[in-house]
Amino acid sequence: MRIKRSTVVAVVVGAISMAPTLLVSTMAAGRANTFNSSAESIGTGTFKIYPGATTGAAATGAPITLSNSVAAQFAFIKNSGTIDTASFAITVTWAGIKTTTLKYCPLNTTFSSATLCSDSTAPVLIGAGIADGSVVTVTVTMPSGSFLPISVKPSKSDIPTIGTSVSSTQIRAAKVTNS
Amino acid sequence: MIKSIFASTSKSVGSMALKIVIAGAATIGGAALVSSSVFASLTATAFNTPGQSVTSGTLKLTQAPSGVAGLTGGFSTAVTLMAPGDTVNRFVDVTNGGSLAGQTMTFKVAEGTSSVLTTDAINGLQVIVKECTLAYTTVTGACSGTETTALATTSANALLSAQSITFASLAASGVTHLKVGISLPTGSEVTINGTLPTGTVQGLSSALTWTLTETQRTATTVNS
Repeated sequence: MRIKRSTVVAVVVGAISMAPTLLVSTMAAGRANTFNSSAESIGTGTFKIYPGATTGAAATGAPITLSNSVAAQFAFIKNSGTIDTASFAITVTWAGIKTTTLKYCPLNTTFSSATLCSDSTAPVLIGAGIADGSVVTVTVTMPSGSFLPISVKPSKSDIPTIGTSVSSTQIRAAKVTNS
Repeated sequence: MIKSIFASTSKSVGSMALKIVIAGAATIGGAALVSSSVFASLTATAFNTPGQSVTSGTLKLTQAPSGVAGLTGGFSTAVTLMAPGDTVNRFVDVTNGGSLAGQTMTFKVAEGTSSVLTTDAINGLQVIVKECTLAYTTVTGACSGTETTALATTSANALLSAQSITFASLAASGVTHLKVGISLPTGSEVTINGTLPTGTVQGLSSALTWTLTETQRTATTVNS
């Protein structure tokens, strides 16, 4: 079957003349959107646990070396973050292979002596016979801004170094908020 | 004789001139007749009475915080001190308020100032969107109707580009009840001696703009 030349020309001319119309109709498909005109502010908290020689000591970002050379050496673990923590880890190190005993008093108190807290309670034993470099998990809930007194009891002449760490799995329980 | 010839000649010339005049007049007259017949051609028109009514539809999309007590935070209420593992659900009603149905809904987020919350696809914010056939229940945020997942858990990082989101219906005047869950993954960050790790998700603040976009329904051709 032969197609007349005039037919072909007519088809081509028709296609060319219709093309712009088809393109326009495609591009002109309506769209609508909606967005929150006031951006949603999202802030995240922090979990920071660090050792300090006093309750007011600022974080140095490094372990602290206790210099109070007595049988029981005292320090404070502070939560300077904005998120409560459920537990944290303490690492006690010193030169040589030694062991130590770790105790703590209630939050926001102090040690009155090696065996007595300022609220008249007895210190809680975290662990005894802790070897040099051991990582000890302390399961005490620490609200933001609180501090925990600890005592380290190595040999009388030893000067321990205390470091802390807290991971995202050791913070308060996750919350689901509907609002 | 000469006089007679002259008279005859004169008569002959006068007759010729008369013929020419008559022929010319006939030509001009004929042309005039033809011309006047063109101007006098008849035309006819037809039109509809009354005029045909043609209206165009509208495509409108709006969002508003849920009207359910306790769930009215919407996208404009701040989320503060989010911790790893936390989820904040916000309840938003999306109204396709025009007269046209929509299709191909997309969802995206834009962050005012870039932060790990949107640049980190793993540790940054994660978003899940659910739809309920009824308004969500106060306080618990539960769905008492049928709940479907409009958008499976997707990182905010991915949502920086528009992602397809499925609504049960995009009919004109329809209202869709959404629960947008924004969560911060638990992750495995460790803060050592009070120093935050590099690339932390902690202590960040961000301003997020959430955008829903729909396209009009497929164009139709009506023969009627």
